Formats: sequence, structure tokens, C-alpha cells
Amino acid sequence: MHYLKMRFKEILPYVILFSFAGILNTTIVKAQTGIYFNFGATLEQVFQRDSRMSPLIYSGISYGGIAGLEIDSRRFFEKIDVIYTNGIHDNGEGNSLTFHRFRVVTHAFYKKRQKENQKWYWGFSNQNNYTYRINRGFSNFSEHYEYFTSFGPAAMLRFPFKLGKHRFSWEGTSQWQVIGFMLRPSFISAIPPGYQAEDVSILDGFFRSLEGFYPGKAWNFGLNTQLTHTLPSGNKLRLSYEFEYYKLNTTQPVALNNHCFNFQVLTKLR
Amino acid sequence: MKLQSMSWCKRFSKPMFWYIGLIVFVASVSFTSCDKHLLEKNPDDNPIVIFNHLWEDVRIKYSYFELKNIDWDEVWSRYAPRINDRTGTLQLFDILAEMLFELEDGHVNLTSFFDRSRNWEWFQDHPPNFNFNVMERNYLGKDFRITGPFRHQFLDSILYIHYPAFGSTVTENHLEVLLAFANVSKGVILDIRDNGGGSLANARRLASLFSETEQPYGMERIKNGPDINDFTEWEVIQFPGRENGNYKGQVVLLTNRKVFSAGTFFALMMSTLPQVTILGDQTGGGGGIPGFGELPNGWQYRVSVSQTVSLDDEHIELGVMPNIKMDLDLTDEINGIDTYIEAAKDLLQ
Repeated sequence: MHYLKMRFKEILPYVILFSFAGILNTTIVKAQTGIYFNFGATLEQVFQRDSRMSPLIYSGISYGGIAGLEIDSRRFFEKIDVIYTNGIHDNGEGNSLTFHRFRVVTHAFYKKRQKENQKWYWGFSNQNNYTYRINRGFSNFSEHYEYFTSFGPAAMLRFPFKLGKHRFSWEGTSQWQVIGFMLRPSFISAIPPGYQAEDVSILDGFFRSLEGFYPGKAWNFGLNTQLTHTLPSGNKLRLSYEFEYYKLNTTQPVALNNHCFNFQVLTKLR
Repeated sequence: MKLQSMSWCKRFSKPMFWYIGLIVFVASVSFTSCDKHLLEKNPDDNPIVIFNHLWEDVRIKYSYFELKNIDWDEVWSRYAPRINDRTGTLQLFDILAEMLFELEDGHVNLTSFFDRSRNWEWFQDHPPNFNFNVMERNYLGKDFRITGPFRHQFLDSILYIHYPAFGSTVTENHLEVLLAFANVSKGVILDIRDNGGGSLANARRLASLFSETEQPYGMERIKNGPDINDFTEWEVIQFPGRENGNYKGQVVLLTNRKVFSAGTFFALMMSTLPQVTILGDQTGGGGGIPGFGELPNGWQYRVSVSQTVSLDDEHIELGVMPNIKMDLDLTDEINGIDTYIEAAKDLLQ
């Protein structure tokens, strides 16, 4: 078992590689007109139930950070955000867990050629999520997690406006994840199920552990609203709120909803 | 993009209002507790739901139904009629505890804020075979050494080591000290009587003191599905050899029925070494690693979720047998003599 745990650590780079597949997809841009690097603080309220460990909802506040890129080109508007949060959440009955969540989220929206005042944008979104929780009341088998990579349609309403001399932009974004793959630990131990057979290679075990992510089997959608203030220098300040929900109907289902508040500074790179 | 004037709100189209309205609605809901309902609400914590939840969790997770010949469906039929909506909290706890007691497993507990159920028959139904006061006063004496969790003393040039709990961390420095003393002794008596377990890592580290190379000592498998025979494949388990030197002389390991869990695993490890003799009573068992879960009212339970067998395919859930079986002599005990330690000294002289 110890050997398998070691091997699981070895596959993490592959997991990260898969996560960044979505990024590659969106960073291939044409005719860039503006590139912003953003960073900021994240505060979120999480409600979650991992039936692998408890029938009860665990909830609490998580803190963390967000960083990413925004690319506003002639034909596309694209965003890549890397978000990490952690916190201690409890079940209201005296037990708690340590919560970590790492996400790489990309959005790509298409612009219409002839429309300068375009407000509606359509595109797609890619979510790469790794949620890890350690139940603090369990001495053994206390680790629980889920990982998924998924793609789906996204829409954005973008509305710039002025208040006096100050330039603002309000944006509302929604995304629904339709297809992808996901990974959960095995029935009791934290080792993914694909590694339970002997003599399984690292990659083989990884692929054996994956399950399909599709409507009915898994759900993930989110709504985001944000207000951005453009400073005279071209840099921006942003306040955003996002609601997100996911549910993975694996043998032991897990569900989470999240209210995430971000305060970000956007620095114009180009 | 062309910027809008102050009359920007007039420029919203109908679909935009719907879209913004949706976001505002979700944001509003989020600030109330109602959004919990996007997750299915917590199950009712009425006695019948709690009973069924525990029974079902044990059914899908417990690993020793076959070995112990327990018909869990039959258990349900005896206990379920005793539960109804009016069953009180304490009464419910006692009924659930009684049901879990039937598993005859020291790794099975139900824990609430007011009590912790257990089955301790694995040592309470057997002679204690250990008198701490006799050992401490007549063998450790007053000038023994304390190295981390170990108490040790020379008895007629034999190194006597007492290790009371595998929960106490064993470090390389501790092993280095023990090795230095052991190397100038005629042999080692390692006393783990009443050691109820703790961390398997400590057991592996201590066992490494007596082996030059990595040593297989058994096989284990873990439940990997809800059916009674859903297990992973058997996997060989090993403890490491110690690179910084190990003790090659004779060792007598003293055990009794209160040696449990990591203590039983340690006895199994030591049983694979040719220079080790296990003397005393069989260990209490605890060969299944406990897994934890929660009930709808927040009570926690734990049950064995794995199986461990020796290299000879013998389950260690019921204990590891000694090479030399004996009980403490009551007359000896009255006279301040530890029968086990004396027998071990005779073996090593």
C-alpha cells in the first residue's frame, strides 16, 4: 500500500499536465489587443457533502488567492484563473475537516466581426478541479478527494459604463460543464481504484481510475458577476462574486456548492 | 468598446434583464442558509434512520463477517424491532452499541459526546498475565534508563526493554541507544505486554532494529466495494531493515492478551525473525485496520475494513500465537516474581 501511495505521488505531474491542457487551448491567441495579469485574494463559503465519509454537510469559510491572465484580442476574449483556497470546515456536530481546493479555470468567448458594441458573448469554459479534504476526526483513511477536468458552453454579458469620470465594466458569466473525466479514491483507501491491481504502470493506473463526466453522471455549473474599475493608468480593480455547484455521482457521491468572493488587481502587460 | 453614458440602464435589453435577474437571485439566495438545499438536506436524525444508516455502513464496510461467521441480516432482524421513533438517545446508543458488540472486534466502536461503546472481551475474558508494579519495582528498579518511550534495565547482563504503547514515537536516536546497550548484553527481553497499539509506523521502525534487510511478514487486503467479498488483491506487507546497524542476538518478546492492533502487527513482524522467541499468551488481535464514518446525528463509528494474514495464511484478527505459551504463576506474583521475565532470562542465559 505504501508503494502505491508513492506511485500516486508520482502521477501528480500527469494530473497537473492534464489540468493545463485547457490553458494551452486558450492561450493560443491571435491579434492581441490587451493582456492583463491579475492577482488577488479569495474568500469563499463552502457547503459540501462527501458521502464517502459522512452523510452530513460540512461547511465553512475558506481563504486563498487567485492569479491569472486575461487576453482581449480582436476575435476572442479569454481568461485563465488559478485559484487555491483552504480552510477548516465543520459538520455542526463537533467534527471538522481540513479543506484544500485547487482550480484552473479557463473561459474563451468569441467576438462577432462586425459588432463593436457587443454585449453578449458565447464561448466555452474548461474547469480543472482538485478538492482534497482530511477528516480531522478520523485516525485512518481520513483522506478524501475528487479531481475532474471538464468542458462546456459559457456565456458572458459585458456592459461597460461611466460614472462621472470613472470607467467601469460589469460582467456576468455563466458556465455549464458538459463533458470530461473525473477521478475519485477507491472505496475505503485513498488510492485511486485503477492502482489496486498489481503491476499497473503509473499512466495505466491513472487511466483505469478515470470515470466519464457527462450530464446525469456529473454536474458542474457556475455563475459569476463582477464589477471592474479601470484606472487612468489602464490597470484595473475588480470585485467579483461567483456561485458554483458540482456533484459527482460516483459510487460514493460528492457534492459541493461554493460562494466565492474575489478582490483582484489587474495589471496591463500589453 | 464604446463606453456608455449615465443612462446606461435604459440600454439593457429584455434578455439582459433576465440574465442579470438570475445572477441577482442566486446571489441573494446565497446569503441565506437556503442554498444548503442545493445539496440534499442532511438525513433525519430520528432513531430508525440512524439505526439503518449504521447497520448499512457496517454491512458494506466490515471485513470479517465471513471469518467470524456473522449473519448481519439476521442481526438486523433482531435489533430493528427494538427501535422506533420514540427511542431515547441513551437507549438508542445502548442498542447500537449492543449490535456492534456482536462483531467481537476491539476495533469497533460507537462514539458519542457522552459515551464510547466497545467490546473488550479480547482481554477481559483472559488472565492479565502482567503486573506492572511487580515489573517496575522488582525488575526495572530505581536506576533504569528512559530512552524516549522505552524503559530499560540490565537484568543479569540481559537487556530488559519495556515499551507500553505503540502510540509513542520511536526515533532512530532511540534505536541507536537501544542497539548500543543490546550489543553489550547477553540477549534482549522486549516486553510489550498491555501494549494496546497505536501507530503501525512505530511498530515497523522498532522491528527494523532486528532485521538487516526488508522483511515480508504478512499479507493484507482492503474492502473495495459494498459486497461481503469485495476486497483488493492480497498485497504482501513488509517492514524495513535498518541500515544503521541492527541487533543480531537472541530476543524474547513478551506478549499477553492486551497486546492489540499495532502490538499484534509487531508480534507478527517479530515472529518472522529466526532469532526471536515469543513467550507468554497470544495477543488480543486487531488485524483489521479501522475505518471511520459518521451517522446522521453526528455520532462516529469505526469498524475494521481490512484483513491481515500471516505468511502462512493465518488471520491475525484473533491474535498471534506465542512460541512458548504460559500464564503468570500466582504464587510467583505474590512473591514479587514475574514468571514471564524469569522464563525469558532462563532462555537467554
